[in-house]
Amino acid sequence: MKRSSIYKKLFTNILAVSIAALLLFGVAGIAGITIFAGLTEDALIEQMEKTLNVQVADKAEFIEEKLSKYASDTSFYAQYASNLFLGWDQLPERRIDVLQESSESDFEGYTLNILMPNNMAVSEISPDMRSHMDKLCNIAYTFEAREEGMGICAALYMSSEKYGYTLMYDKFPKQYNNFDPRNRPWYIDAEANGKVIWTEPYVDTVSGELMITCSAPFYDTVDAFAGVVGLDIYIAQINAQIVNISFSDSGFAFAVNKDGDYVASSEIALDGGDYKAQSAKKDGQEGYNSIIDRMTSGEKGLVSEKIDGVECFIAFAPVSKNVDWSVAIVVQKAEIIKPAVDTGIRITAIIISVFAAVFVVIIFAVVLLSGKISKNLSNPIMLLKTEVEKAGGGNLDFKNHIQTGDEIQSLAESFEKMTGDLRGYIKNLAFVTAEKERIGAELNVATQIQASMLPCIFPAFPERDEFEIYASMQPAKEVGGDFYDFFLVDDDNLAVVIADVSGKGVPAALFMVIAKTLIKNYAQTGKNAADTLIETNKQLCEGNDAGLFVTAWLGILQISTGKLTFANAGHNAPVLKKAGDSFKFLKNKASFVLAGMEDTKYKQSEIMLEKDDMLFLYTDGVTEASNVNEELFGDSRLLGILESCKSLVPANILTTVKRGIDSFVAGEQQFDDITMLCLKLKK
Amino acid sequence: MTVTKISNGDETVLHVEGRLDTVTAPVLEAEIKALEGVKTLILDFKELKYVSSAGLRVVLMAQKIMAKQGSMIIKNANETVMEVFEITGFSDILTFGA
Repeated sequence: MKRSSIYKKLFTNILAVSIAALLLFGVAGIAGITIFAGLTEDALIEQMEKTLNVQVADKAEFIEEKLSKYASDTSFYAQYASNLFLGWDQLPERRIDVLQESSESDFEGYTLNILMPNNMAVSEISPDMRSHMDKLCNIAYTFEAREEGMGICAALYMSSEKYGYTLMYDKFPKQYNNFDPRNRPWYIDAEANGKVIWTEPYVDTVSGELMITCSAPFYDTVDAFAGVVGLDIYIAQINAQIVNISFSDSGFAFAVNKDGDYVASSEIALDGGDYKAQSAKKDGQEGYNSIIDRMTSGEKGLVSEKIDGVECFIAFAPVSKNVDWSVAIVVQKAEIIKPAVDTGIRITAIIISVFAAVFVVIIFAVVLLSGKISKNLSNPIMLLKTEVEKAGGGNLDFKNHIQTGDEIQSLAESFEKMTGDLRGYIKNLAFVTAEKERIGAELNVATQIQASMLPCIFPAFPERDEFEIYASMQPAKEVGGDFYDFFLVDDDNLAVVIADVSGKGVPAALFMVIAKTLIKNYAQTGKNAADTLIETNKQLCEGNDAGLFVTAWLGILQISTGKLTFANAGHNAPVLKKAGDSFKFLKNKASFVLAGMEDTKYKQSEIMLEKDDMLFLYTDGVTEASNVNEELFGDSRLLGILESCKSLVPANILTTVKRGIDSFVAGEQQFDDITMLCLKLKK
Repeated sequence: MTVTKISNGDETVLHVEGRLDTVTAPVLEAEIKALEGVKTLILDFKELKYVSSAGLRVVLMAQKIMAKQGSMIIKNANETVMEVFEITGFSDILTFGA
């Protein structure tokens, strides 16, 4: 596995944290700007709403004022006309040519004309009608006397109910002799209402321009309806002042009449005579159309609505005097909030560029700093790592030079202590191991010494053909407690010993050496078997603090006669085979063990041996070898196996018995030493 | 092997169960060495299956200690164990009780 270094980790972590902090800072900044832009946007919308409300009210008021002025003029003219009838008989006549251009009446391009109904020729005018015309034409003085001039006024006129003629003050000196006002809407409505009225927009037959007319009735002395005074206004003039708005590029205004048709809009044709009533409503834009409905029902308001798919603010207000119109101002929302959006974008751009610059600087600084910090942190660790690797390679001579004053120094100090301790342990371990090896080696030597102390060269007495002897010992531990021995006391006497020291290991082995030596010494002085054991017991009991003891069987064979004298110190009874008989235990009353009680008495017995008699000595390691079921090998198995190999030589008998024991225990651990000795007489 | 100790005043009964050999003898030896003040020691060998020479050594040690401060009685030893005592001559120096 590839490992990344601490340096790299620290470096990347510091870098990551710094970048994260910067990014957070940037995000917070942009979020702040967004909120600020939103607030600005709200403020702008609020400001715009105020402006719109004021503007639309202004425009409605403007129309009201403008029209009120002309309504007032019209009213004045009607009153003036009515007044003419009061002094009718004394009223001077003012002759104005019928259907003739009059230079004397020329006034700022306007001329006075009299239009006749029903193709009436001048010659057809009666004296009474002429007089009526001349007297009523006095009203022309007021027309001509307008202080402010005509302004947006296209024409001023007065029509007579009685004769159907019309006195007209306008810029179009055309000669109409077939103009009967009495069938015109402005005339009929004025008569019907008996007061100042306004017409719907219409195209003037004389000028061909879109206009509206304000008209009012006048009456003679008996309050009989005598005619109508009219005043035409070019809508184009009002339109320009309504439609144009100064505070917005995308914004526009319009006005509708009570039917929802445009009376002022950039949408409608203002000249050319092809004016037709045009609804402000738009197909399929219900939201917008409902606003038009609210306008025509005289409401006032400000709503946000889509027009042709563009989000707009629409402020509207009714014109409450003179006409049933409503004015609306439309501004695109995008335009209103554009400053906020623009500012937001601009500030964002500035912040992003500043942020980018700061980012670059900080990253540069972080790269430099974190590199340095990481190096400062990781260098001691790298140093320590090298030392640890050295220690791992067996070099424990670590001297700490790390002085960082932090955990790394503690670690290094701990490591220094550890390597020091390790040096100590290794030294100690080497010593202990050497000691153990030495003890092991000495135990091996002890085992060899023990083995070499037992007679182990066979045939043991090649020069003696009277008997054959063989013995073996397998210790359970390295150094056993069993021993056997045989030696010639003199030419005619052979001593045979088998013994078992209680316990195992080195103490038992040492005790065995003493026991073996004592028995041999006493026997070789010519003592009989019982005396040998008595003396040996006395010696062994002296200083036997460990409480060890020995079971032993000692027999002394007089070779010439075959007389076997033997004594038993608590040992298993040997097995004897007389020639022509089977193996039987050579029982005698066993005395107490050696080294048990100081004053133990040992008795000896005698039997006579003959040619081919065999004596088999053994320790309890043979009869008490146990198998997995904890069954003991036992006396009867021993007798059985001896019987099966009775014709063999002693060496092979021992091998056969050992094999028999091995197959019986079947791999179970050997608890006790297994020691056997076999003596066969041959003469 | 397990050794169960029952103390009753200055009389102590040790029930020895299993094999008393080289491996287990130190357990009984530890009990024997802690017999100070005991006047009567009863070794109950009812459940003792086998005794080796190392085991005999501990029995002898117990006998020597108890000979000085009181008496030791061996009870319920089975045939195998008794045979060992017979062979080794221990039966001559030990006291057997019912």
